Amino acid sequence: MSSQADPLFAEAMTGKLWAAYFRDVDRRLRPLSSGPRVEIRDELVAHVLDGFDAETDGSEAERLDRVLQRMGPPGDYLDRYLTDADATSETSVRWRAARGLKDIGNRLALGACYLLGLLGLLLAVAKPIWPEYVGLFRMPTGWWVVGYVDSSGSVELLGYWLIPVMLLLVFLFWFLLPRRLSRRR
Amino acid sequence: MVADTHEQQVVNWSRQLRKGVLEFLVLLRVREREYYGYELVHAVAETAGGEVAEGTLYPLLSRLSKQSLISSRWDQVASGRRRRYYRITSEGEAVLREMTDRWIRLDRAIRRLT
Repeated sequence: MSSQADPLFAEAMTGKLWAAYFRDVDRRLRPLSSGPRVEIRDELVAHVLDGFDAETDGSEAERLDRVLQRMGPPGDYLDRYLTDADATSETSVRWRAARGLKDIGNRLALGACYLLGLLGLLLAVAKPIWPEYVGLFRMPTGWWVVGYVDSSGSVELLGYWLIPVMLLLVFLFWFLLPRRLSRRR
Repeated sequence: MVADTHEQQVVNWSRQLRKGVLEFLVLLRVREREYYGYELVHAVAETAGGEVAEGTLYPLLSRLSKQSLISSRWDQVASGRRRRYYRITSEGEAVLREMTDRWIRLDRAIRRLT
């Protein structure tokens, strides 16, 4: 990716900071063709190394951290290379299309998460009201069905354990997955 | 609460103002002499009040290069490292003269009002 080798640091923590920052840089520069990608990365590497040399106080990791803080997160500035690019250029069009599709995908996934969470909550509330109709059932045909069903001839698999299982799913669909999805945006 | 809002408005205005003059500051710096990336970005960020993330200046340098207002060259320095050096072009100097003129006129107009 770069025409310059990554520097070697004395402290493992410094190497980790460097690697995490430039992993993010590499990921964000991926839509660009190799020429500009290498140039931009090399320039950022040169800047961080010059800044690191100019820092004199603190441990190696603290010095690098200060330089990276002053640079700002790659997400705050690298996209501008692509938005500044000619709007009709192939790279720019492809990048905008990919970003648009990713946004739509994320929104659909978020919507599905909230709906599935709501369904889980309804089942958890409904189980004590209609215990014989609400649950996870193995039907005579061999199919497994979860929800409010005519359970004649079927075998209930979870009983009242359905309630904590559904509440866990609510937590998963309303809190954990949306947080992961918003981090990806 | 109202004071907070006013403070926030001033902070936002100041941020926008700084963003608006970054190109001007870059051209002013590279008119002086040739600067390498870190030196230029660090100097411009400091002049802009130190609140500009240094990384945000690189896409700006790239845009100014594409507009032929500045030119750049790579050079090898100690321990095999490379640095990119920037300087103003004649086109950049012409644009800078016009920018400076407009800045002075704006400054005069504001001084008359304040």
